[in-house]
Amino acid sequence: MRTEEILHVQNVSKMYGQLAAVQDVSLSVRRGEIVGLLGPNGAGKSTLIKCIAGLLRVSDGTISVDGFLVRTPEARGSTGYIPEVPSLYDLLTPWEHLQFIALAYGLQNWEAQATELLEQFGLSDKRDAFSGELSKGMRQKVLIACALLHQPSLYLFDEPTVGLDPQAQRELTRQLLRLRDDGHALLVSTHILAQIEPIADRAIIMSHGRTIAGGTLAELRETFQLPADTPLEDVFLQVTE
Amino acid sequence: MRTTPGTNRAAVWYLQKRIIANWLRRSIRSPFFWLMVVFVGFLVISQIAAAIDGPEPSEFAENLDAAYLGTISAIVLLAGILIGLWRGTTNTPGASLADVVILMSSPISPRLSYALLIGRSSVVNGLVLSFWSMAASSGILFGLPDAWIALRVTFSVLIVVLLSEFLRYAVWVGTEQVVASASERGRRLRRMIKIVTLAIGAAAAARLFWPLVGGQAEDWRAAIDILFERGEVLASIPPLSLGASVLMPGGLSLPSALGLVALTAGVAGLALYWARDFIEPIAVNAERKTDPRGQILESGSDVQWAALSQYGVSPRVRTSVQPFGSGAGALLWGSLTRWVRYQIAAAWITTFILGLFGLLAAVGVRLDLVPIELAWAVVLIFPFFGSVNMFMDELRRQFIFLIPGSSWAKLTAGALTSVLDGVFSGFVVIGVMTALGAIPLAQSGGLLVLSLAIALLGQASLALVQIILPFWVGQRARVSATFGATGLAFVPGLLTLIGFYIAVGPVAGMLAAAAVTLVVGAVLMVIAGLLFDRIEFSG
Repeated sequence: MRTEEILHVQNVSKMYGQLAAVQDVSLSVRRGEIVGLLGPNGAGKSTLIKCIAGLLRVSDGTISVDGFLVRTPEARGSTGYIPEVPSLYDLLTPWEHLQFIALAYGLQNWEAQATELLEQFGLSDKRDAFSGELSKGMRQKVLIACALLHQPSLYLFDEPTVGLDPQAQRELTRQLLRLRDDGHALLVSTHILAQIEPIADRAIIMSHGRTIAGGTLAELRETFQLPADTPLEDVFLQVTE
Repeated sequence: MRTTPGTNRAAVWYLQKRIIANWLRRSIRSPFFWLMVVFVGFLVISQIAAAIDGPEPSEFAENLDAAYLGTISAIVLLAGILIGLWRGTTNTPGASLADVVILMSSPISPRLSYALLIGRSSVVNGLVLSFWSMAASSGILFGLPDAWIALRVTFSVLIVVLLSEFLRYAVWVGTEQVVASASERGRRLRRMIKIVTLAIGAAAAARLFWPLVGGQAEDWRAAIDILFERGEVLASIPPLSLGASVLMPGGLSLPSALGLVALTAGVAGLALYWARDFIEPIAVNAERKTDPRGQILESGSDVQWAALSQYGVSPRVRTSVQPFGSGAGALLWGSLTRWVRYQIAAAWITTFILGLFGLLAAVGVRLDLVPIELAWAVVLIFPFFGSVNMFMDELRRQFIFLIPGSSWAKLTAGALTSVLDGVFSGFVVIGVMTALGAIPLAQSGGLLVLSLAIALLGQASLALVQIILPFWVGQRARVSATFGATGLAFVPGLLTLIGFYIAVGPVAGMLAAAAVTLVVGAVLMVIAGLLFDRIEFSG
């Protein structure tokens, strides 16, 4: 497995006026790795992910994606961002969203893959329906399909399973593993620890804007002197309480 | 991946082209769309016919010194510039969350994304306002010796709107660069621009209105004459002189028009030149629009508060009011406090626009350009169209069904705030018109009572329509059905108004119509209460 870093976050802080949403956070995600970003509400996970996606400015520190400084066109082209709220253009169909992504990212011969993605997520019969008429779960699936289509080096998932039915959750898990096996880097923010535990190579736990723990599950157990069979949920509660 | 400026443009063009095409595809199924097409077609054809036939000047046209049109144009252009400057320092441009997530996180250049935002809002605002100006000028100015005047007015309005919008986007993104690098310095710069804008506005207003305040005008006609004479100085100052020349007969119309176009394009170019590092405030605002209170309450964190506070929007959200009462009373308290908070946040804009509207209507009535009955109709339209209001939102939430209390009481409590909202708009317009002596005091009272009755009728019709229609009926159909039902239910009141107006007089007509309308509204609300258990929610 190649081990080069795709995402490199160095001493990043994000201030809103006097309030520090993210404080001095450093982390990295390597090629072929799934990293779970965990933390209670208001820990700063979503803010950090938006900083990495280039939607928020960092107050201090640097972020690079695939060797490019964040917010450059190259970094944006190397990043796929799937937010918690599935926001699509109501007046575009799923297929038109995929076509826009293909144009925006300069993809060639994308149609077969787009068709396959729609099929995998059970959206084939909704291909030409207006997105405004789709359910929340379906909209989430379209957004994930858009991110999968352009095959970026880094995927940022912010609570990706919220609103998905069990089949789609399983399909998403399968896709995450496939992406990791294909050599992509994945940073997944989630509250559903049981879902991330079997697939994450490492976990980073945030609280009050800071990273308070990080490592493989075995390393976390060792750091906090917990029994070897302690589930991630118990580790998380031990660390954050 | 291989992206170039060419593929960037192709992607943005594709995005907007598909949105417009799909909007048209959906709209052509609506009768309202075809009604508008016929209306616009009629306006354009009537303008061309007027130009060919050279109709007789109307009385208004004969009485109006043509040079005044230039002055009006200059004043409107100045107002557009000042509004653009002001909005550029106060409002973050709007974008949907889809824009943020799909467009702005893609490799498409920020400049192109910003061009799309500017183009979208400018074209929509420009088209809407120039359409209404064409409609208005066709009616009022039809018959001027220069028969193309309506098209020239339309062009002027379009340019003013575009210039104002581009200025707003240029000022905002230009100052945002300073805010991003040094937030305090950026805020100071924005404050300074605001102060300068206010100073120019105040100086222009003083120049125009000072003699009127001093009581130099004997009557309304004289006041208007003085106003226009004083405005001629404004019309000689560049670039306002360009706006004046476009409309003034005998002025340098074509060069002035080209000059205005060049100025507008220059400001747009400036906005695009500065367009970088602007995504954060737009992203935060777009997220806020998706339901700020829900997000904030759910997360229970201070981060979103702080983010919203950074962009000056938190006070509206933060002013949460504790629940009070139970059942229907709690519903009334909740919707009423929400409405009051909204009014506190946005009242100055609403009041300003409505006040301006009242001022124009008063001038129209005082100069005999608009019959007073037309002014009544305009005032009464507010509660009529207000029938699709906050109450519609309440009826789409299951809470109204789940809270304790009788159906009739819950419906009435839920409707009262919307009634207040509909009457408030009319009240401002009536107040200004009455203060300016355009409507006698007794008639104002009658109009207010009738407004109240129509507002209640509208809410009762809305409740009934929402309850009767099955859950799968779409929003547009519900809105149309509500307007249709309100219109039909107002027929007895309207007939009473006409009958009493002819037989007794206007005030008696209004009061009698209000009584009949109230009875009909109460009956509809009782029926809605009886059928309330049939209501269906889409989930």
